[in-house]
Amino acid sequence: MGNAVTPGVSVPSWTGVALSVVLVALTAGLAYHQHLGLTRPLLIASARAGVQLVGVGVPHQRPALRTALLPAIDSTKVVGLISSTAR
Amino acid sequence: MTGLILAGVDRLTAIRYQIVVMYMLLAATALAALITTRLAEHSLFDHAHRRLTDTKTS
Repeated sequence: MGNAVTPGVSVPSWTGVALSVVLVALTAGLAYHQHLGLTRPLLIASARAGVQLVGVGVPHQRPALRTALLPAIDSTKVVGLISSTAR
Repeated sequence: MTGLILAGVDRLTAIRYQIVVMYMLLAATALAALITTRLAEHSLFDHAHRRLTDTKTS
């Protein structure tokens, strides 16, 4: 597990994350420029999204916590079981 | 993200993917709302903010 991505599937790198952050910054700049009163909520929402997703992801990286969060579930075996019973 | 994790992709990759999805949704929704409102404002009101009752004759 870990590098089981299908060849040819494009997964965004950290450059892609930076580009999406630039898109959000563009929106925030536009909201600020037009005095929409959206700048603060927009920035708070984007910061919260980033913090929450990283907060979910980092514990999942640690094997001990991973087993605590997903007891007795090996995702690859589950997918294999589903695909074998589906036929 | 859930689908990627269930499919056996690395957690950090799935999280990264989800962050990109969330940020693009946020920016796209905000930009679309702004553009739509500006276009509607332009077609419905004149420069003195008066309502144009019939856009065909005015």
